[in-house]
Amino acid sequence: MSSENRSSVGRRRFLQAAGAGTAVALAGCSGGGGDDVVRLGATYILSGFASLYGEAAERGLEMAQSEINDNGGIDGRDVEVIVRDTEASADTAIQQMRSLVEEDNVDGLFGLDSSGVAQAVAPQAAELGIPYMITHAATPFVTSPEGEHENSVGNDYVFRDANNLAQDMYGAAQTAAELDATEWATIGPDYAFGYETWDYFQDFCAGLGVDAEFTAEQFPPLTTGDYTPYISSILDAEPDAVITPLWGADLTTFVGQAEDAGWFDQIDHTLFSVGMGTDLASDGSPLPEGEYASTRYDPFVPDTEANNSFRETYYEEHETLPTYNAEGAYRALYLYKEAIESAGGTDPDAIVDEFTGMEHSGPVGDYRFSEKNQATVPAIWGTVTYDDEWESNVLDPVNVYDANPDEMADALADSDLPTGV
Amino acid sequence: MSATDTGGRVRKFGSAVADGWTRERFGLLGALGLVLLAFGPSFQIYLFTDFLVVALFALGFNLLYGYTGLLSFGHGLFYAGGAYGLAIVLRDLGPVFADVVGSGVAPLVTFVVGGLVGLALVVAVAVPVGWLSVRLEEIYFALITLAFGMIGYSLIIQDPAGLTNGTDGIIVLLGSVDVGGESFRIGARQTYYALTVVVVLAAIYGVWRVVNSPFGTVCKAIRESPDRAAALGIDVRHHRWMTFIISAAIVGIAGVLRAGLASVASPGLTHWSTSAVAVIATVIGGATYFSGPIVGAFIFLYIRWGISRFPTLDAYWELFFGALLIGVVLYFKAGAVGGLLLLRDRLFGEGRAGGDDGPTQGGGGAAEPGSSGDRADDRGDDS
Repeated sequence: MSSENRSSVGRRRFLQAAGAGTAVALAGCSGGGGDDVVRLGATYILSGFASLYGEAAERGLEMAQSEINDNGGIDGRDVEVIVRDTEASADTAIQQMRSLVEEDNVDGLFGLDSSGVAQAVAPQAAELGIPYMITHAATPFVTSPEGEHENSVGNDYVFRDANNLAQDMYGAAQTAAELDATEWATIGPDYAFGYETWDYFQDFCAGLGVDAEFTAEQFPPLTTGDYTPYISSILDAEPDAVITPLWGADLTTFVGQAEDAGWFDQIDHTLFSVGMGTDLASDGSPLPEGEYASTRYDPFVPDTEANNSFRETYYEEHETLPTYNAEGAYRALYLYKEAIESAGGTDPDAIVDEFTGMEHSGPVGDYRFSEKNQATVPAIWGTVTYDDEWESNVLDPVNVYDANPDEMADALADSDLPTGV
Repeated sequence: MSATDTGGRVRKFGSAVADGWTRERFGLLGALGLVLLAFGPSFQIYLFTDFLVVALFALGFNLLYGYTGLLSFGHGLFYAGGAYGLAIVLRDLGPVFADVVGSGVAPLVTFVVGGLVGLALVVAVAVPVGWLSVRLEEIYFALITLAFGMIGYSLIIQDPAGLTNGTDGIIVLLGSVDVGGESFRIGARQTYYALTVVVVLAAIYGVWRVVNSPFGTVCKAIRESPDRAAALGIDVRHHRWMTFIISAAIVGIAGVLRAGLASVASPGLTHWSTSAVAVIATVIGGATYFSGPIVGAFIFLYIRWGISRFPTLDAYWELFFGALLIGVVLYFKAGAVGGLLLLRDRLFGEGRAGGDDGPTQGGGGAAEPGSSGDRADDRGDDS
């Protein structure tokens, strides 16, 4: 091959690349700025082991978007949602939110699945001066004002419309109180969420006077392929009951391997705190009937017009029951609609003012935002039951525990953990 | 070709700029940077800062690859080392410094100390890791560095002694400096950009001095033929070790800057996929040229950003990079810089392709006569 030949190919390639680059740059500059739409940014996990969560959220937000736009939009303006992938990484999530705010000029942000990511993102929301409605990530520390606890990162700009880990564990401890089990163990993912679940569960049990001992704990890393050693270790400790916050594809893997190891024969009760996330409605390896699971939203409770029509419409379109991810994202759009309409515009600080202490109602029921920006939604725990009509697991019977902020604070009086409510 | 008049003028300016690392070129770059700083939209400043950091990362990597002939797949370890050094100091020692020097300047002092601790940590890790790694060559060297990088990843995820906060990573908040009633945030977009420009330019200059020193000449001799270098009396292994440590330190500086920019030190920094960013940027830009990794980082980040502006394409961005890499490896063995030089030769006459070819002064091809294209082919075959 002669050098003449190569260089001519090279130049052509280069010019093509340069042309493409210029086109890209121009396209980049033309985005954003228009005043005829309300533009919101959503950040979810759309790839990797937990992409199901992001997909469910997308369904919810698309449903709300078309409903709102078909009914006059927000103050007459259409709502547009730009969805970005956090890749379950704080680094990526922060880059995406900066891009959404500074390049796409979004008027508000919502989303977030991972607690670790949420904790890194919360200070950035304040720095960028943009409201952030968290719809899934559950760590109480993002709705616990900075300084309350060494991990607290809550600030004026960060809100959460779904229940948090403290609310969920408040319900778990009350479920535990009703069970005939004294020795408890946990198997959870090896990061903040796994440890926090166990800490909150123990402290709520102590605070509510539940007769419980805590005998074993295992924290396998995320995306573990083989849970067998962790399962054996728990089985060897012979607890009466186990609470597990495993989630995403990890939960599916775990349930299959636990079943093979005779877990559900040997252990009387297993509580799945992220059990009704997404996996159950789909195929794969659903939770065994008769065990306990919590959800942040139940498609059948409350039995209201708002909830029933949300469930029916969602089921009609997707042939599966809505998960709490879908509902949280769906409701975030309506929260923005209400805030922007009563603020009379999309000024970020005005939206933040509207969110603060706002009373709202959606499929999940009536709730308000506490002074720490946490939605006062109930804890929902129930028994996993397969429902032939919906071809899905549901919670039946289901218990709704009203998570009163003061009562939660009382229960945690002897603990250094914040309620985040 | 056509328009020789315009071409002549461009050529005059171009030759002044291209004539080595002259004031003109530094001036041009500096001016460009300042223009961007003054008028750039906030996100563009962020993106450019990101580019500067990745460019330094790749440049440090290329000291070992392009100049010494060792392909490391574990330089993410040192990237993470710098980031975690800073993050841990900020998290655990911030209040201590506030007590000692007063809360006004404490964030700045903590940042500087954190950066130095990050750098020291990287060197402390690079000394034993390098000592072991340089015992091997070629694919074995790539594999052992890959292994060290992934050991670092596993270690960070294990959260030893509560230091690294596991998979969540450590939040990096740089804080505000209050001096004499004036207050500014270190992490503010423009401030951090200016800081990055200064540090990165200084580090690039440092690397340039290294590769043009007798030390750098020895590196190139080793790259061309370790046996011949040894026959000349060079302790090849020792020299590679020293280069490894310098290379790691440069990457460590990039890591410190990265943590402040990203506002988080995450374990992904030492994952092999991050190490691969340096490799890819270098290959795209051209390993034989001093500026190769910098140009490669620019192309990598801006194409990545361009793709991200199209949501439908964004999901498949790796596909585009795969295609780009195949194109580069098949048709541009000298990388983008080689391609640009070739293009310049084509436009402004073949006659200039000889010894007065500016950029090759700093590049690997400088030591020997012959066109840059040929040099790149040699490199492609033996690595």
